[in-house]
Amino acid sequence: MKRMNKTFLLLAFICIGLYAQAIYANDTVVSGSNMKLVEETNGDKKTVNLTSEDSYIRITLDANKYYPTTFETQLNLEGGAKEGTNIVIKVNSISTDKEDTVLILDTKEYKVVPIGSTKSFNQLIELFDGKNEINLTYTHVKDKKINGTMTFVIEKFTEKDKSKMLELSKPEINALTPLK
Amino acid sequence: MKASVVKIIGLIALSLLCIIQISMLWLGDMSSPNFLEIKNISRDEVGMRPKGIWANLGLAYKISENNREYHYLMHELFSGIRNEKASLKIEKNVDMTYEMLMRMQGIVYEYAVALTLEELVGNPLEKYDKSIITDCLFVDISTSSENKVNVYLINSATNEISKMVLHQTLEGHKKMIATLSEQAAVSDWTVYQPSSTSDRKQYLTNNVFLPLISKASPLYYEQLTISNNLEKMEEKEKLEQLEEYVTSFFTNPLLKQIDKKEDGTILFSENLRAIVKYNPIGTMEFNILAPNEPNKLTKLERLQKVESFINDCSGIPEYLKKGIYLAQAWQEGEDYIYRFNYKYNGFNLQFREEARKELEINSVIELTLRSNQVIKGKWILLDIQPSERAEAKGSSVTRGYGEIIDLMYTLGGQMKENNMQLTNLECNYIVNQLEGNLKMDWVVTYGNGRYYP
Repeated sequence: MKRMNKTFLLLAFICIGLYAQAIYANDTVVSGSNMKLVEETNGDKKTVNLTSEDSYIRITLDANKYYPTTFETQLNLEGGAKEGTNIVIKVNSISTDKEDTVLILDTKEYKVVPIGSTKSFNQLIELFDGKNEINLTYTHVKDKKINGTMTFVIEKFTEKDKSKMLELSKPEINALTPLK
Repeated sequence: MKASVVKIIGLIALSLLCIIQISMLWLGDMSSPNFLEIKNISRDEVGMRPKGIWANLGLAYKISENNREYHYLMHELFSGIRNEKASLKIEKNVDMTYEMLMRMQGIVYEYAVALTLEELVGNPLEKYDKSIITDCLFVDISTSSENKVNVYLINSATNEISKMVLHQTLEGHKKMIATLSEQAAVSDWTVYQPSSTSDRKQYLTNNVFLPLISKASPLYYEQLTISNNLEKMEEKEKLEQLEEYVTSFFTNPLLKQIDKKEDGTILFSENLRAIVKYNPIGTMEFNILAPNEPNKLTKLERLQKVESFINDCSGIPEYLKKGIYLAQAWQEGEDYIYRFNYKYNGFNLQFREEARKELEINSVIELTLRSNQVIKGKWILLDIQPSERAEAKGSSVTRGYGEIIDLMYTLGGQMKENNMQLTNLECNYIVNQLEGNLKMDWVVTYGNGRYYP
């Protein structure tokens, strides 16, 4: 009887933990500028795209991997744009201090090859630990669009954060499973 | 009396246990990335060499045959499959797609030809569905546990995916994924994007691992040179080297006849039973007269015969044996023909049409099996080595796959109009001449042709 109670308690905690994780992961409130979230459904696959307000740039957000958080250091940033657009991507490692001012700690710049006939682009970028401000500057000479910018933030968690998150959501499991 | 006997037995048992446990502790530990060197594994035991082994972590890394881990992983997987024997069950047509698989962490084995599982493993397997052929294996590490690993068998021509459960631990595979997840281990490795999880999957028929190359992160490669060193030798030295190459063909090598022709061709023959010919352009071919027997070998036995022929043939250069993989296999009447391609350090060498025409050869090694024996064959005898020139270091490819797809889309009007798809695009060493440096660049397979944008 006692064992059954413990099992039920464990199941209850797992359910709550998963529910909590699901809520956390679904939080796609993105902080940035000049963008909107556009949801596309392709058959049974849903994708959420970050699109610039003037619809020049579309970033593909993988519906299975919840942006703006990731554990990966390298990211293949994919998206679409009008043919002939020139894009420069700047990745800024940022931190916000107590007065909510944004400090840029480090930066990396990538010049993307001009958009061709398939109207898509991809760029392998490296993320810093913590908050990464992704800044896309785009220029389309023919359309006389010069230096439009689109910014959004991706947060990269470290292994330490991962174990912290696991601890918070599934306390009962940690007590029962032996440490490896 | 009895008490002391019991004590002695107990003492012996405990000390034996001690010895066993210590040896298990020393030899069973896989915590370091230096896997134990596996020496003297015959080609048969290791299994069919894949075209490529990849570690997929969302983005993927190539494990080339130069790494010790490549051979260890193959050995671990194939001996795991062999040991499964009685309980080997394959579930046909599971509800899985390439895209779903590429979102899971695992090790991918890619082949150029679709074969049955026992042909890949190299040994007959009992009680399994022989109708399932596969050209891609996916060892799923993300859902693996102690003594249970899912292995998916993919047939890219029909998009059928079957699932097999191995009751093994596959510790090496798990360790590989864990090690590559650490950024430090792969800081200078080229990262690959599986096309089926990328934005541009609609331009490719099957999953292709696309290298993420750009001006900011170019693909650095070792420059290779190709030449026919035999032709540069003194006549005597050349003949000595060639004789070494042909010994395995003759029962009485000292009694063979040597016939030198004016154009530089040299014929070695023994009572017309075996004729080996050296062509000065850089190829060697042979023909064996075998008694006409009806073919009674199974498909697997034929493959084994071909593989052991290559292994034992003194005429095929060692470097070639290390990098070849089966590219095509088919039957023409009584003949079974096998063609092999060659890759260096994980990159395929693509012989362009002009080079193939000059060499008068269809692939790096081509063998024909008839009457249960390998009776005919031709292969290249050229020397392919890393270049020693100083500028050769730091050669790189800087165009990304996006640019190449864009180019194909612009140039191939048909592709745009009919929503056609590319079969493959990858970076290969391109051989368009038989003497000089080999550069690496993109090779696109579209329809029945190859394009070099």
